[in-house]
Amino acid sequence: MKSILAGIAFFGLGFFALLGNGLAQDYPSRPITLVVPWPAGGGSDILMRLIAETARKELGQPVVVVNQPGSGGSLALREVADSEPDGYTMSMIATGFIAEQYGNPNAPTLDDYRVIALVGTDPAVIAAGGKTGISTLDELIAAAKAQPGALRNANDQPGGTSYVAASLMENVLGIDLTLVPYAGSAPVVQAIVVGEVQTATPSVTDLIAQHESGEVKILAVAGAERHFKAVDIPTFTELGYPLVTGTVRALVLPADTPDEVFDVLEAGIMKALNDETFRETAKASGFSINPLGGSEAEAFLEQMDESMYPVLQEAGLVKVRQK
Amino acid sequence: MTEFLPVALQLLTDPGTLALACLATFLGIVLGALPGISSTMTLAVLLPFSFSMSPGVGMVFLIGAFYGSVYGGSVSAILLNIPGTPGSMVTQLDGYPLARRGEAGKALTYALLASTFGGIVGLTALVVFAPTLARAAFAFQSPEYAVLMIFGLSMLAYASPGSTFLGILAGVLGLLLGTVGLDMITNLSRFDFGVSHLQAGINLIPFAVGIFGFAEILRLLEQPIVVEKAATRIGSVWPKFTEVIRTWATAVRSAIAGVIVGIIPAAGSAIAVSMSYAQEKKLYEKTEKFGNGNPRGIVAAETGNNAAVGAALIPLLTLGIPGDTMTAVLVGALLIHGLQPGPKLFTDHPDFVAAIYLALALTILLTFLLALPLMRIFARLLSAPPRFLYVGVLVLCVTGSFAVQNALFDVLLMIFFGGAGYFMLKLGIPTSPIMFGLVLGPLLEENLRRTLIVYGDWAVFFQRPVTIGMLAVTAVVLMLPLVDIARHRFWPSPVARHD
Amino acid sequence: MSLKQRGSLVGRQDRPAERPAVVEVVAGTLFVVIAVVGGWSLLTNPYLELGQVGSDPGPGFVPWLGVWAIGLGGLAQIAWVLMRARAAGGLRGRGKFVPARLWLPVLLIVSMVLYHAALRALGFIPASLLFAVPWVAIIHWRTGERFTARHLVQLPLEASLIVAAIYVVFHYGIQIQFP
Repeated sequence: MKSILAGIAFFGLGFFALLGNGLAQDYPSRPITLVVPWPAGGGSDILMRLIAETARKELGQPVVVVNQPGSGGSLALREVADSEPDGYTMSMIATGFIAEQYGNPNAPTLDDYRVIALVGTDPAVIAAGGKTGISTLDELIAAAKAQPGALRNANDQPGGTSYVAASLMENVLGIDLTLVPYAGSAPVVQAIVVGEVQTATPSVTDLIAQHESGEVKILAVAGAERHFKAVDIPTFTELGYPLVTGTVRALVLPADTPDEVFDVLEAGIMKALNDETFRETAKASGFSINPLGGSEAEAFLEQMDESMYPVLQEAGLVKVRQK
Repeated sequence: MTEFLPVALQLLTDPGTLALACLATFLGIVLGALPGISSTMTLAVLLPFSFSMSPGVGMVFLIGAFYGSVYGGSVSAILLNIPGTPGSMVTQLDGYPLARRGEAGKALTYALLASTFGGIVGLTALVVFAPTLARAAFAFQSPEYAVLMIFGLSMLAYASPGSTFLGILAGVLGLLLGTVGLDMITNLSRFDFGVSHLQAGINLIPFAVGIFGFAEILRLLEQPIVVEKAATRIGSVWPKFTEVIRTWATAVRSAIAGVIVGIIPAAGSAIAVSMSYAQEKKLYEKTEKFGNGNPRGIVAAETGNNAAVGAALIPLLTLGIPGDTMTAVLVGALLIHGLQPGPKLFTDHPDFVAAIYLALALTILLTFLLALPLMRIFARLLSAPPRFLYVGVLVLCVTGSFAVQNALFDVLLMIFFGGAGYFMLKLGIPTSPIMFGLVLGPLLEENLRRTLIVYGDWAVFFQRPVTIGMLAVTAVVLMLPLVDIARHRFWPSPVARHD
Repeated sequence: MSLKQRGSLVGRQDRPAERPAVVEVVAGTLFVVIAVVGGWSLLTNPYLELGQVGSDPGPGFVPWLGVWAIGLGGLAQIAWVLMRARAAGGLRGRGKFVPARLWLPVLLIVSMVLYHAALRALGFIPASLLFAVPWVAIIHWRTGERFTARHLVQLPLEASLIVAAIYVVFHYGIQIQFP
């Protein structure tokens, strides 16, 4: 029995050794793993699966989405940052990653990565419940200034996209809201429709149906331009409050990835992101796609890091690492 | 809406769509029956395949997979003692003992009939009441959710077999396990003991696979395994028609409970099954025993679970608020096809809504037809040689736990909870309340604290009609065991479960 | 099996003088121990105090409640059992924790931990085979059947079949990337 066992084990090991045998010249020679630090089925996951489908055609190898949720994504991101820099393991990061750097001792930092591409920014919005009677941003500011802290705002956990957006809006509008955390966007929508909170700061797609039916009024969009799903809603900038924030999604590799591998992957991903059918499907789902390649994307994220830091500091979320 | 029915019917009578629906339902049942693969995961994995289909066909495909996997979850609960979803955690209380007695076929039949009935009631509720009932969800805000969780937990404490007092302590232990990791409100970590993986919290699937599945194998290994030669024949014992009919009242009551709870967004099937099971246990406590293979227990759990599934689509379609993680994945699918679930879906795309109704009806029928032959195969599996079965289940426990989050740490958690669960059972501590606490505890904590943030103080719980009502019912339920003390039932001496 | 168990549960209640079992005390002790460990973890957590904002009772609120509940509950359980033991004239052991019954479950737990370690080191297929082949044999032995020459080939084959089937379903069916 022993010899059979050894034989089987040997066969198995050989099989795996074969799989692991990729050379930089013929990259990619085996499937590429795309780690999504969120549960399967969420917004980011759906977008990543769309990208993976498209990138398969460009790269000539399957791109396999692996969901590793947990601990605000830090667990999976730390693993990717520490993985073999051979170009076969990439990961997605989002806005929350910036806050995790300072709040979670295990989280990797921006320096641990090479940014392949920025996928786009889904702008955050500020919306008021239908029962509040608030229908413009100025009315909201007036109401908030009349009673500081009386208006409640539904968002996500401290450091999350929506939380950061709400904090940035408080700063730029000069108002004071009571931030109430909810787990995910569905409870946020329910809370504002029901009237448990007066305002909310999710993304356009979360609230557009309720906006159209009049239960909720989206007051302004924090995008560089108007959102294609809500062309009648002004941006913060148009209203005189320059602010761009929302869910920023980017694809990253470990910092030590060699150039020849990085270039192949960057070219492939960028091609996929500019693919006609991909952009149409993504747009239909409400995702904003504004791809930026490697160095531009890196600069964008660093700039975002700069602007978010004071907000995080003020909210007491800078705990384990100082800038 | 009637003018759109022909369009929807045309879609569903297309042979290609029908074949796809069959395939999706089949995949749903089989994947759902594998320990560790939840309905949510089944859906997420099959989601990309629907991208290239037309919206109607895509929804038929996904709803098929979704509904099939809910029945599949009950299969693993009955056969392996491993609940596939929180909704099937009560099914195993009676389903598994029945299967152990060699009557797996009977257990699976009851589950199938009950879930089909529950599914039909849920669907009817969806079609008839969707626009009107949806507003009921508005009665539910953070304080109501907090009290609902307390209500659900006390129902489950009552539903769990064994010593009530130790059961309550085990439930609180589960609640504590639910607080492990990052806190939702403040993002601070608790009980992580310096292990970074624990910050992510304890995932339900590895926990359930360990404490029920792995622990059961450990228990079976205590003594020499007796292979009953007659097992194959007993495994194919099917219930008599008259026996099934006897449970009709249970099915009706449980279906109503399931629909009511299903409509409340995010309350989820866990509360639905706990309500329907506890209700039946109370009604029949004089005449019947629960927790040792009573078909009525299976019927209550499965009808409640599946009625809640249909009802959970009501807040999704009418308000755009997904009722649970599975329907949340469906939202993603709708969005991909440019359909925004919400108040305007009914007015803008009535043809599509009709298609969803018909797809659900078709799926309930398909699940029933496909499960009949599959059930025989599943039941047969139990009569495979123990070495095959046990080692297969053990390797499945490992792969299933790993697959949930692609994390080896989850495998370690599964092994830990398996060992812990085994020793706790030996000490007479019931382990199912731990899971109830783990499922509902985090929701309780989150809503309780959010209530305090929003409303400022505890008084709010006694100022709202719905919370007062639910607190009163909970108080009555909690008083029941005290009445039982007089009858020496509050603190029974622990008995090893299968000595 | 289980029928008898529930039946005996009621029967036992009708004899008030029965001695409570030692395991009932151990069950209470277990809860007290968990409460102490949990309480210690909360006490030494430097960040918990940071979380108290506004009227939120903070991240430590529910954990502390739970820790106290199972700690005091465990003590109550011990006290109650000891009171009953005094009335009945002592405790009784039940022979449940004896090596003859425990050795195989413990061996399984140990080999599962080793299996877990091997998954990282060797990958899924080799580790699973190393685990499955011996255990197929052990359970074959546990069912009281004899080993013949045929089994030398058959058992490893069965183990490989199990591993291969599960690998195919998870890897190709639902696209899981195994270590």
